[in-house]
Amino acid sequence: MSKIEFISPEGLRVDGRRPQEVRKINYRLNLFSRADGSAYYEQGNTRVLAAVYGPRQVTRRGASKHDRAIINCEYSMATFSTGERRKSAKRDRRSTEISVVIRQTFESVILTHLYPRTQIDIFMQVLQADGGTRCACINAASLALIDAGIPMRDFVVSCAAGMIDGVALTDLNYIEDSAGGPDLPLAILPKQNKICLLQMDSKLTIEQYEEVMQMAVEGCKQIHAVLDAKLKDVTDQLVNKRKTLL
Amino acid sequence: MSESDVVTPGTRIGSVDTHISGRGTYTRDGRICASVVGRVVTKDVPNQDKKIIEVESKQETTVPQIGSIVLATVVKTTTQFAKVDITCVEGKALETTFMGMIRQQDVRATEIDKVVIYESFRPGDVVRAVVISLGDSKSYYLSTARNELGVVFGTSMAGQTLVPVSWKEMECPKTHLRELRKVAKTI
Amino acid sequence: MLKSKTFVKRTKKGNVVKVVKEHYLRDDIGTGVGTVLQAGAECYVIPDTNVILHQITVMENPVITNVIVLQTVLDEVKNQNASIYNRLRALVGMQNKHFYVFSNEHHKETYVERIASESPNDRNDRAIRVAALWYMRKLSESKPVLLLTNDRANMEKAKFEEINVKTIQQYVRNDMKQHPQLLEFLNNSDELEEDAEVNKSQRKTKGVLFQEHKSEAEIRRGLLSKTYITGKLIVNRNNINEATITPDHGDKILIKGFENINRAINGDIVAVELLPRDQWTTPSTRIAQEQSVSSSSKDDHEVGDKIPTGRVVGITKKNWRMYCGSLDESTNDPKDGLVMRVLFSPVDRSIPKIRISTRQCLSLMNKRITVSIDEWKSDSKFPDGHYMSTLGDIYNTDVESRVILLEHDIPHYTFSENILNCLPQEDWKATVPAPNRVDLRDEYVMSVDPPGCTDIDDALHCKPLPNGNYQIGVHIADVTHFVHEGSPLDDEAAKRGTTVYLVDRRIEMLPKLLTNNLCSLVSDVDRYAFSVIWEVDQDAQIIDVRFCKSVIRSRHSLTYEQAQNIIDDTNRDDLPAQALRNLLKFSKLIKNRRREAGSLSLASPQVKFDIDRESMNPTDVEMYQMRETNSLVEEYMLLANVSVAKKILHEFPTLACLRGHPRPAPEKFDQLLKTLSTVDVQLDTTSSKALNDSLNAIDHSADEYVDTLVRILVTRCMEQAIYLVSGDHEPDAYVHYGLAAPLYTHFTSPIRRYADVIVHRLLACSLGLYPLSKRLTDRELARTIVDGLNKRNRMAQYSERASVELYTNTFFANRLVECEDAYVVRVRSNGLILFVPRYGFEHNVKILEESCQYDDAGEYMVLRDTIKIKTFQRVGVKIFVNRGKNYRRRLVMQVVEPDIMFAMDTKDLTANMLMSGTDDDKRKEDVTDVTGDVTLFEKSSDAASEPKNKKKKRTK
Repeated sequence: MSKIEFISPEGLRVDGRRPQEVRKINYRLNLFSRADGSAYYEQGNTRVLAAVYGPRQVTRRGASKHDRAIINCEYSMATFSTGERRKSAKRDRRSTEISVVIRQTFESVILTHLYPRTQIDIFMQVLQADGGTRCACINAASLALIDAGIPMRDFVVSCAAGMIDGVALTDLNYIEDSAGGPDLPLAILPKQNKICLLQMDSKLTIEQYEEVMQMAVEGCKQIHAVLDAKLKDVTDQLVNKRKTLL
Repeated sequence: MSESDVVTPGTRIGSVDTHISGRGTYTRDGRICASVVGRVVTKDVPNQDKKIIEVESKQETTVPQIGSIVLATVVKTTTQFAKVDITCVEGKALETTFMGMIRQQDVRATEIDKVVIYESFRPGDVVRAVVISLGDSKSYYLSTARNELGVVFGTSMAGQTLVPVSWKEMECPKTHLRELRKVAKTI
Repeated sequence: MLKSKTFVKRTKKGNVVKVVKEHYLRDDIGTGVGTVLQAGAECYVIPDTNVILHQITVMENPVITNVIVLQTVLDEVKNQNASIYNRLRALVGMQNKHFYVFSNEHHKETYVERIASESPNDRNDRAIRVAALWYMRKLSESKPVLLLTNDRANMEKAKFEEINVKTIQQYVRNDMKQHPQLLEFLNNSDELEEDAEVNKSQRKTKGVLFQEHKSEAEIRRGLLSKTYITGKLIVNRNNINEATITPDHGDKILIKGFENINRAINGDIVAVELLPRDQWTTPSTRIAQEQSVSSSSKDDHEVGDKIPTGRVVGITKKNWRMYCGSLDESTNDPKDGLVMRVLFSPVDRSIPKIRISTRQCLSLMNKRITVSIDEWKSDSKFPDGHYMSTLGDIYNTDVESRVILLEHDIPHYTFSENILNCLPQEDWKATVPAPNRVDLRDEYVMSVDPPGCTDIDDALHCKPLPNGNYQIGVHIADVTHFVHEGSPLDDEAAKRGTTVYLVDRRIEMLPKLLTNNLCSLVSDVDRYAFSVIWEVDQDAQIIDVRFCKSVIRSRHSLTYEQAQNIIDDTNRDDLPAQALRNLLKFSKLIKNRRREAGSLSLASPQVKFDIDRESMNPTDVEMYQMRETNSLVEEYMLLANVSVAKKILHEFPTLACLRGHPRPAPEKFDQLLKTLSTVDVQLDTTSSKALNDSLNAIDHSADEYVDTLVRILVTRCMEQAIYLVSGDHEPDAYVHYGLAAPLYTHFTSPIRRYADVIVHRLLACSLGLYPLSKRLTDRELARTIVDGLNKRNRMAQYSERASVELYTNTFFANRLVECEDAYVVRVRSNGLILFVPRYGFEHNVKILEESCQYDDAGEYMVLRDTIKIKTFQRVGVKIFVNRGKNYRRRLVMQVVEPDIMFAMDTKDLTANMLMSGTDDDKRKEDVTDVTGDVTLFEKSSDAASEPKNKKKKRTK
């Protein structure tokens, strides 16, 4: 078995992280003036953009709901986002699925009843993919929504975890992701300790599942801590700036 | 939760026992939580011991709601109604417009059956109106049936800004021709 | 604590892909001192990559402790040599060795970035130095850190940076003076000159013998542009100067001559360049010479088509391992105490001699030793290696058996502590009633096995039912009750795969406590079993089958002979006699049905050695005797296997572990059919049924052994039966050709086969006794295990055969057989291939071509115009053992009747070894590989074999 050693006996993963560590996270808000809210988010080498428009008038006639806002999500991958350049960024099955998953996640979080008969559009584009794009997109969308000032129940954060060679790992990168082990993307509402998205395609024993799940939750909490701290920081600065201006 | 602290959505900022949930907040299980990022602000309410707690965010999202005073541009008129684009809600400009409709019976409070839309609004007029209902699936229903509501800005045939002369007439400063409008009473 | 560092590199995978990887640098990696490394150690050694690669044997020595293995080194070792990497990993795992892996590549302070002008190697060297410096700073001067490198440039730079640095030779000779034994293991091939003075005089620079190997990049380019071809080098066992590679696509390529083989060793993955077409040649079809340049074979006698011929230009993956063998017999004046450079001859004839340095030359003479290869220089005729260990005296059967085990890579160490910890208490008792277990203790269960059998894994019962039908039960030892999935014991069993039966020993798959005691279905004890219970009608048609875990109590442990006697004893009509007679009756019916369906009855020579207990030398050889009862037991085992196969495939269509036996390719029969046609025997090979019918139709009135002989020869045309995971194959592949069964698996011997253990688990899951575990559903894992099992089985068979050969040789070493019956199996242009029924082996006799006329079409030869020798003719032979060169004993056979001594090629009595066909080598290996299956060899009643018999012979 001359496969890659995903986790060395010294306890380090291929990129030098320990099993429970997430990658380095960085983000910026308010990139686009035209969108109501936008965010650029990077988690390791996975980089995504998210833009939020709305609440605005429903574009598709008949789709609007009289008691709440509808949410549109569009996930796409840039042609240059993967190692091998893709032919076109046309919507494929996978991105449709991810779009739906993300929409469902946010439908449960955004206080949609405040904006009846409107729609909120969330566009996400993966600029560079290195595993965990769906989770990164959720985080980016979450930030963009916050930037747009759309009221939400909680700050959604998402992180995936998986298991390779019997070791649970959080925040898999591309190499680890392609190892073929189980992969469990999870999104939680960290302040309420609630899960709003959980996906898993592979079979796991209940013990292993618990372990992976715990890993994913830990990953989410780490991410939340980082995002939250920076967000407060940025807003603080903004508030202070406004004060001085006034 | 002290004032001027920056909070993120989901953060608990108070309880319904001590505060009233205001803008940027929502209540869950008797707790008041922030729904947007911003500073926590409490405001006194007259005749109440409880204070309103709000989260003041840098950007307020606004959509027309029942009772909102909006500014709208007339797009088209028919015998039944005038179609408008809502551009401003409660003095805040919108990023994108919403469609609205002023029906014949909502133009003014009196003599509703004698209203002629063409004699009340012309395309291009800017109207102050109140949202009376969410309307049908397409448009909000607006009403101008109050003194302070109606056309606030219009142009004459000659292209000049009309000047209000009565509650139902406006005059072109250049040609001095009078045109019929449901004019808003300036406050 | 996380620092990110990204770097870009290009990898090739068809097209160029840009790979961006993150690389986190950390500050939480410790020095390991006090945890892994001993705090009070005199010195911490940091070896560089080449030191590890060349001196792994030194590193493995118990006196070398407290070594810091840098990640850089580890990665490089991993990329270059997987087997050394595994050994190094094993060292790191040993607690008393105190080997610490320092992840310097991920440490903030020891990570170095490659400078533009730097080669990857230089960068790694620098990384090693930086790490060494870091260690020196971290640990105060009082604890010296020693960098070991044999690279001159690296050493100088290290000295400049004031790192404590030495070569491995300096270290071993000076620092480890108190352990002179280390010198033995030292590989001096990469010694720096100033250290190497000792050896300088001995090593004259000879002319370059071999072409230099092409660089890795050149090879890759060559492979891409199709100028080079890559493949695994298979050296002809009979002629070390001839090898072949079979590329993935395309025809076999021949490589002839040691210059062209260019230092590649059997099993290496090599890159080959084709020679111009006019230099193409044919593989030698004739009986070959021992390790000498093929001077004697006159190449004028080339027959057949020329095939592509090439030469090795580079080795992409070395398959070097540890080799067993002995010092060259012709070593002059062996002495102890002096470092001598001597030649070592491996036992494996496809491996060249190896030159080693030793100080104990004299004491190593006449010993079997193990040696590993260090390198093969282009100016050296032989590879350089070093001594590793001594096994014992040559010809000592015990030592030679160990050689067989080592050479076939059969794990034969004793079970380790943590494996034994998985075992239940020795006084374990079956608890009754047990959950999910049917109590079958009231059934009259008996086991029938070879005499002296201690690991009874099957038992039977049979009783009439009120409705006139019969109930037949097969009870198999419930091994999985003790071997829990995923436990160290389970892992070890999976690794061993099968119990290996050598003539004199048994290398067990499971510890003795299980095989001989707790799992064994001995009589009068409650034992857990896995039962298959059929209801059959009077015609032995199966009405119903059910499976259950059970607890049984066997009434009798019978031998085949005892069982036979009970059946034959007309005075007895008690319960066991009735049951056995019924069982026998039904087994015959079932067997006939199987025959009808086309199940083959083949034969393979099986002999049994009587071994003198004290000397462990064989005293007699006899064919194994088959009784009706053997086939009785076997028939029910087959039936159970088939029933279980159906059940598990039905329940788990993609996960079932089956045993498939592909139908042989028609070409495989070509040579045999040609030979048989010369003696008017026709075979119909269109289907197994046709084949079986035509085998039965053979007229053997002239000589009844011909029948057996043909069956033996047909056996050799068979494909090998293999384990497979059903999801990986089309249903066509599930078929068992030899048994004419659409489905077959192994269920009945979990004590000695791991496949049965898997099948037991699957069956238990299908009954809902256990949930389907992760490991069982992991097809990737199943595939790996099954591939491993197939490999282990093959190796087990080879080693069993090697063991028989060893004992045959030992047997004949002490006696001379003057005249024994033998049959001509094949006539070749320069010799005869003879089969000796009494001893069950085949051998060849070389005939001088000048003295005979060979008829190729009729495959016969005429000697002195009067004596005609043709296939299946019976001749008399004299058999004895001749001592060959380098302790290779050879059987020698001479035809004495008819007396054709005049024509025999006696000049190289030493060299002859069997070559059976044109594609000699492989064929010889493949021939009897079907032996793994119980039934291929059930041959009516006279000559046959079946693994159960093996057990008997060798359990003693």
